[in-house]
Amino acid sequence: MTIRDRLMLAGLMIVAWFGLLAPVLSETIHQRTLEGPPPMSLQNIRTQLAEDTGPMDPVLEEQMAALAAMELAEEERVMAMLAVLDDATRRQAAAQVGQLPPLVHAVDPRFFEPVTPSIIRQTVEQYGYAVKTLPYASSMVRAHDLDHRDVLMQVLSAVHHRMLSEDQAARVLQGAIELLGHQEKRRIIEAEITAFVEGESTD
Amino acid sequence: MWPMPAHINSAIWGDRFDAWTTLWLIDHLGERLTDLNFAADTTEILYPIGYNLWSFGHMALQGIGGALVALGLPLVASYNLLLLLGIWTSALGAHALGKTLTGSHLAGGLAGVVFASTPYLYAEAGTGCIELVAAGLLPIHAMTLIQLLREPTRSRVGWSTASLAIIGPFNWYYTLFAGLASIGILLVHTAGLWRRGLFAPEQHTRRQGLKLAVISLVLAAIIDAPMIALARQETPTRPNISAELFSSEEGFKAVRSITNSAAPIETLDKAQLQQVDALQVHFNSTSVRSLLEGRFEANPLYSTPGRLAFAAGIFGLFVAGRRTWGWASIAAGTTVLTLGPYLNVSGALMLPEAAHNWPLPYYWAHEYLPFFSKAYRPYRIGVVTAMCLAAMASIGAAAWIRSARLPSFKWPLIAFGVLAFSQPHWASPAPAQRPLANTTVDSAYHQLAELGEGAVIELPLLYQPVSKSNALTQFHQTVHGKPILNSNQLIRWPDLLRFRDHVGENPALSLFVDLARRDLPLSVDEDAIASLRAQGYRWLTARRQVEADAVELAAEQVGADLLGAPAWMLLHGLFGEPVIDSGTTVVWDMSMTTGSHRVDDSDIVDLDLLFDPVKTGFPLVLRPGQRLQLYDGQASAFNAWLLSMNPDAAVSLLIEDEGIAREIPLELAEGSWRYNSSVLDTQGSVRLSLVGRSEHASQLHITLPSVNP
Repeated sequence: MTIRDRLMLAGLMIVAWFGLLAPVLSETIHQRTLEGPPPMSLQNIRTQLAEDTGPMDPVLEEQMAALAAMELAEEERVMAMLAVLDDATRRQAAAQVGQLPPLVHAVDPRFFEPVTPSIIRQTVEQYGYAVKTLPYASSMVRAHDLDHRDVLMQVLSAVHHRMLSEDQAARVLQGAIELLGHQEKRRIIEAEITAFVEGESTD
Repeated sequence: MWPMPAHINSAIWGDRFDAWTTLWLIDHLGERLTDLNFAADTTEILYPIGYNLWSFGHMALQGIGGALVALGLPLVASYNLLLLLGIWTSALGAHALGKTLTGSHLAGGLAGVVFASTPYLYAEAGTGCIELVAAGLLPIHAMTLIQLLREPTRSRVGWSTASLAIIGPFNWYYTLFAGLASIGILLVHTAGLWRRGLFAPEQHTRRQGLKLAVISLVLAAIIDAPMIALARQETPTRPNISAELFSSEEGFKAVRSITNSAAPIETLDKAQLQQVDALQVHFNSTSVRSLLEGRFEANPLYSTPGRLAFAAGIFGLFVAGRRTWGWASIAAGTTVLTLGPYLNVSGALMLPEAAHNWPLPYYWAHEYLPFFSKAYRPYRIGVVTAMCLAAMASIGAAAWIRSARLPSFKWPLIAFGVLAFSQPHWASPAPAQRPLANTTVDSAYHQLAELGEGAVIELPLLYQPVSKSNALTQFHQTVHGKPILNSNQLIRWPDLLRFRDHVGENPALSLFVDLARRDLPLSVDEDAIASLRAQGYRWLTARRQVEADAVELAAEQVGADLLGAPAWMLLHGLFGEPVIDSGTTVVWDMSMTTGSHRVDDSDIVDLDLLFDPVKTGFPLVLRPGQRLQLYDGQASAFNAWLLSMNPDAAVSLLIEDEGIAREIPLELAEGSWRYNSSVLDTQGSVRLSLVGRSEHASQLHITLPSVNP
């Protein structure tokens, strides 16, 4: 092999390694780290409780009722925020969801989920801090067969792409702050239920 | 490293605690050279318990800086000059190795470029570890060893021995790394000897070279042996490491609580602190992903030899073939060592359980090889990899230069040099784009230098250098010249335990530790202050303005430096008016104590805001006229720390009571936390709000808001 051949081989190796192999391998590793463990499923606990024919512990029954109420309250706030957007804005926001940057709070342990804190942050950054009462929603997410997260992403898209008036932004911010409060309460209730069920299973 | 040379006497490159500590050490050694004081202990920091200077583990380079200071060169200029010299001498050292290997200056030049432009050196420079930037002694020693193996003479034994032995006082890590590289070189040499016939008469020179090289290593070890006890001062006995520890969330939280200086100091013990040390091994290990990416990282923990060094090594491997295999083998071995004790593919903070089954050579070496645990930051072994890659590149370049068919190597070398040395400006994240750290010291410390004798306590006392502001206390000492209790050196557990015992003896000192994050009540008895005075303490400092670390990065450490309203009330209650008030820093004289003082829950009402850097991290943006309601009720004063994120931010405190509204403009400083305490002069119930008063949007963070009822 001549020195020119060796030089070309070295060049090819460097380009193949740093241009192709290393980025692909690195991205694969990165994606695998994002998978994480499966989240705790309250549905499993509900199913377990449904299958259990014995009387339910009154404390647990109370906590499950509080949880259901909190979930309803969350759904109501989500729909109330969606109602701030008119049909044309909703369609436009939904179409631009794919252009949103990565969520700032994607792996933030301080929050129950990343979209609501992102809505608050984006609204404050885009429109400044101003709040107005957000009226109650007349219909719920499940009734519309909508996905909770999809709706929040539409709202986030509308905020990020500045599709809202200042008045609308103030109502969305109020709704998102209230939703964040509900989520925090739900996180506490879920932690209590999980601890209770785990305590029962170890007894 | 531009633009640093343009600010050579007013700013430094990098602002982690190492940089401020190094500045202090250079200044201190300069003073000692002037006074001809060569004692090991000092009470200029960690007063009155003292600190052994050998604990730094490196003083030769700082000693050169000290000599420059003693000769009259300004401190900051001396520091920056050493940093530049570190890069330059690394390039020269690698050039010498490449020239020895190939006989060509151009090929040696390529080795110099590869070695001196590695992100490892720039990352260490960015943190202020100038002794690690001065890595040129590693290739120098490798060069003398190669010369000895090729032509074994007594004088070459002397040079090789001296070049290895002298690395000790410059840096203990590098002594170990040079030893590692030497063993690799000797193994490769032995393998070659074996292939050619171990006892063949024509191999006499090679056998003689091997013998003398071993003698040289033993001699260097004997010369450095008396310093082993001093080296142990820097790195005390390290605990065993285990995969379970690196995967334990509880262990991780406990360690983080200590490194954040948040765990109560009285609860610290040797076992906990050794666990902190053990976890450092994991945190300082490279991952497979970092190696694959080879990015020009600003954080040394993620640094590797870098893409260009790996590319240059591959170039040498293919172009020169077998002649580079020895260096390639050493490079591969040391790269595996940089991965640390377990295979962490992604670089996850918590070691995944799957990695438990993959102990790496580093684990066995750390556990069973004497002295190896001194290399408790595995990523740093990458400097040996970088040296080997530089050697491979130079051998490849020599093959190019010898070829009559290829064009001159001069222009490719110049192009590669420009590309490599400009990396800090265009690589992502580009370290040269980071703002330089201003070395201007608040006027209060210059005024403090004029006051009488007495030791200084800078509040809040923290037992770990958790923030830039805290790390600066040691640099301030170079200005006021008085002994201080504060120190960045409590990262070593024996010193931290001595500090714990000292502060534990006095209730006031105990309270001053982590004062910013203390729960109420805060109480100090005048007897405790009298006891401090008897020990030689006199001056207490506190800051109303604190340069902010990035909020997202600082996370729960944000509050560590920010004294809340209760602490200010306590200090004013104890000592009255400060003797120095520069507007940003205040100094109290402890001899002016007015008696005991106590601050209770009833003296303060904390305000719970959504915009808190620790709780949510949400910034607050107020457009002109927009308002955030803070409080409704009885209040005589409002207190909060505010951090302005844009230059023209302006906010006011709107006070509404009995139908009358008035505003107090709040003090803001872009990029710094600023303490505001406003007396409200109201009667009855009051409504408080923050109002945007800039022509543009005002973006800020707010923390520790409270009112006095």
